[in-house]
Amino acid sequence: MRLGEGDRNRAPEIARELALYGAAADPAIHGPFTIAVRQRDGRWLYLTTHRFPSVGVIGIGALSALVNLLLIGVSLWFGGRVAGPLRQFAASAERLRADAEVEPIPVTGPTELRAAAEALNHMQQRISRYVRERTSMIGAIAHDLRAPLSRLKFHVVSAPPKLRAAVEREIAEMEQLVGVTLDFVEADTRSGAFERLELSLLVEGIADDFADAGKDVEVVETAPLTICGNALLLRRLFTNLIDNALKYGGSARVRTCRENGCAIVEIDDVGPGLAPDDLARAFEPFFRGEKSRSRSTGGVGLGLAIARSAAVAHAGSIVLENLPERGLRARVFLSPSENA
Amino acid sequence: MLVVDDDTDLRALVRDYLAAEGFDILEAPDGQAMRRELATNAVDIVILDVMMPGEDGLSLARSLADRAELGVIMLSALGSENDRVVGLELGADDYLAKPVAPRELLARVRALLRRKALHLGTASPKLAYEFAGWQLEPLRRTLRDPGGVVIALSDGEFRLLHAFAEQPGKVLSRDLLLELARGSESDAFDRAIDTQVSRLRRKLLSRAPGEMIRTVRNEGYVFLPEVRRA
Repeated sequence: MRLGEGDRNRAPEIARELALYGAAADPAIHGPFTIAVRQRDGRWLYLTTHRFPSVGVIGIGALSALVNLLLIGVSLWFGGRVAGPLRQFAASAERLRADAEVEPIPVTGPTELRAAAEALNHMQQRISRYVRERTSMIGAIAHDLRAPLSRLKFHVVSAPPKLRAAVEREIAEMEQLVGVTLDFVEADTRSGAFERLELSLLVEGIADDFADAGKDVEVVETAPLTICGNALLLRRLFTNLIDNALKYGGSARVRTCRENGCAIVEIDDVGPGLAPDDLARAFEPFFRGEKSRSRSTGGVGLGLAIARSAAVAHAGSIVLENLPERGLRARVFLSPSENA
Repeated sequence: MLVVDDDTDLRALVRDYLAAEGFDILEAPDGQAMRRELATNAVDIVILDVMMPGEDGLSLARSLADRAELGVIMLSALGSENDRVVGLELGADDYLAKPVAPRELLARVRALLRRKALHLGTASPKLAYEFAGWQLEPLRRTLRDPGGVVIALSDGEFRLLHAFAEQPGKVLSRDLLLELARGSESDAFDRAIDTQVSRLRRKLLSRAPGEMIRTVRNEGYVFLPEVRRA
């Protein structure tokens, strides 16, 4: 607190007041009040404030209404400027996936949104680079295993028949794992040509292949479905699903139909189904149901991951559901070709 | 026979194995050495690895394509459908995915030598067939209906149709068709040929009208449409 020239004389007084009110007495006094100041000549000077006139209250009300209107106007204008890009931003963020092919979020709108879009795009790039590196590493390992496996096959040629047969079985198993892993990597990184194809006949052909090999696979219902797709990826998709149905459920019943403009393929088995927690997790790479961790069913746990990658590459999806009685149903949703 | 592979150990193993079967084997670790060997020696078959540092097997196969007397078998650790097609289109006579079974390699080598001796050309048909608006590409294993839509058949049906397209207008006996449709690797072809043919007929008819495969009583089947090789 600084004292003016005239206050010097009143120093003891001020010190008393300070002790009473403190240095930072609240200067905001609400309501009417009176100040009494004793002049040097001993007379008192009174200053009294009046209550705000009632007109003033209305004025403030009107003013605040006006401000509100103005604010609404501004926010509507601003909102319009923000909402569009924000919606677009949200929709793009929704589409973000780990693949490099996803379109970046458009960098438009107000500054903050542009910054957020750029940040998200960079994050997307980092994630897809990470996934690409990880995927190509898996692929490289699987690929490099083929060289020693090749040599091994020649090494055992001259081994005694019993040993040779055993080693060849092991090699065949490893070969299969390597093949499946490479399929998985390829499904994730390579997208071949998409062309118009008949989905029901493709599924039927795969079912016929299984049936020709003596497996219990039957197409129970079929409808003509032309879609735009990649035959190789789709073959893998349905081969894996039917193979799973046979492995865990002993048989496969296949249905193709059109529902709400969607091409649907259903594959039912009569196996034990999956625990509810496993229904979604089953698609994770290298996931294997608790009961299937035996060598009899084999596999690395990539079949469903490959199937899902293939479905996603076709902007489709796969849902697993337990059937009411028993068995598991895999439902594949794909969008039909526009000019089918 | 010339084995071209940068994997020294595998090269030696392939050499020893084929030498034990009575073949004369030369070796080359890369394209340059391959050309050197080819310039100074008489070679019937080149066994060519796809993945090699420097000039890779595919481009080497391309450079050998105009030497018709030379058989080329490609070995690849990639072994995907697409690589197989590319390898065969570039002029390789056969394509094997690594890890190759020694007996399989031997069988393919002998088959190629037999075909060369008979001047039968290559193992893999490099043609496309066109009939009644349909298009069949055996190499890519693709069939298109007259509307251009890809129709996927089962393996057996596809081989049957391929056999028909190769010999249109001729009566093919069930035994012959069974032999052709069985394929080289599959021994699980237990369906009667009649079932296969009727399935194939139904699938073809579901996409375009018109009889294509006619039954000849007590003899077999005949493929009716005119076939154009493209």
